[in-house]
Amino acid sequence: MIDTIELDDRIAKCEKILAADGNSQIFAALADAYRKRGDLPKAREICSRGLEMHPNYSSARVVMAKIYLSDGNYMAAKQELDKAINASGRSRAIDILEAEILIRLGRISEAAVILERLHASDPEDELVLNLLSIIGEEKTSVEENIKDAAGQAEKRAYSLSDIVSLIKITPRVMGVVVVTEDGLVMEGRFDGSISREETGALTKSIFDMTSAGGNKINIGATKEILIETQSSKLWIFNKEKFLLTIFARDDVSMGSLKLRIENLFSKADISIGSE
Amino acid sequence: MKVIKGDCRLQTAVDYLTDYTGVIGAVIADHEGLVVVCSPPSLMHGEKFAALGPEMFDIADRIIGKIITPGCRHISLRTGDRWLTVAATLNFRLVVLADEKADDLLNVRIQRALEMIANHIKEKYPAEVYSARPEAIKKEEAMEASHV
Repeated sequence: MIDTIELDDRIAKCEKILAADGNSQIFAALADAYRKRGDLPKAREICSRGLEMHPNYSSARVVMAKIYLSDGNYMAAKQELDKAINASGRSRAIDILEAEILIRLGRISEAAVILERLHASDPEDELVLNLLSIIGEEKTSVEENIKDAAGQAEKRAYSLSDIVSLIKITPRVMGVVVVTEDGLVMEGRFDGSISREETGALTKSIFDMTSAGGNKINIGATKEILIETQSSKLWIFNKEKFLLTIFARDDVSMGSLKLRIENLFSKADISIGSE
Repeated sequence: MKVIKGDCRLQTAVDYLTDYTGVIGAVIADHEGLVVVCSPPSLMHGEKFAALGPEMFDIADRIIGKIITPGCRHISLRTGDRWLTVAATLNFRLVVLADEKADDLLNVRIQRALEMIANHIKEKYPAEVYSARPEAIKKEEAMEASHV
């Protein structure tokens, strides 16, 4: 635990550096120190101002996510964290923070998947153990979570966001993205360093160009495209108002994945696509 | 049509596919999009499939290659009642068109056919026939560079 004197000392040092160089990236450390001291408005103000000058500084985005998290603004926290991930990828600390935010957002199954993975790689990590205890996940497997999540969701109509989340937690699925006809990403959940925007743009290009080829040989309107590489599969479904793209490992169970998709969309909220 | 005379084993590979329920036709195309063999021989638009199937494959391969390497090895496109598959083996492309009567076990046959094609080509032809030709690639790159 960092004591108040140490925090005050850190704040003084950071402010001195920032006063000497207004363009310094030390603002992130300063904002974080204010956050730890509990002065969230000050922390937010410093971090926002700094991010205006350094929008791609991912450490500052992480600090901003923590400020929003402390402030109870979980959606904003998630958005900031996504920007940090897009700017410079993932780390263990980012994964833990994301899991915490997802728990606060009530996206327990997604958090469980992340935490199970982190727990497997370091069973002694206390932060991870604490978060697992919050969601009561120490003894349950990821598969049970998937079942729970699916069971809960079955009781109501699925929103597009639910569907994307439920597909994403399928074993060996690395990413799910929903792209509009204009190529804009509506929803996306991704592991790793591939950005959802990049995948969204590629999805649209592949679909348009491949469908154009299909039209030339008069085989009708494209409903789905499956592309297999040595290590992965990219599956694009034409859902009329949008394209659903699933990025999975090569050993994904295609049959069960397809059944899951059909099942989810059969219970989809009819407003889907106009969200 | 670029028929390799006496190449009955390639013909056997495509016939093996068209034996399957729901398969309308199968074509082996070379890297230039020309028909090597096709089944049934009377297949309507066989040359169109040979030209456009590999073109679709190459486009998908080029795009997906930006995020995944090595790129594409198999692409399949489904419409309401048609199922088009394009798969690569060596420097050739196998294009298979099926209707809704075909089931997913067709993929097993396609895999088997690809092995038959690869084995035969490797046995019968020197490596330069089925591997990418460096001078052609260089020429292509130079052309691309001149357009940038």
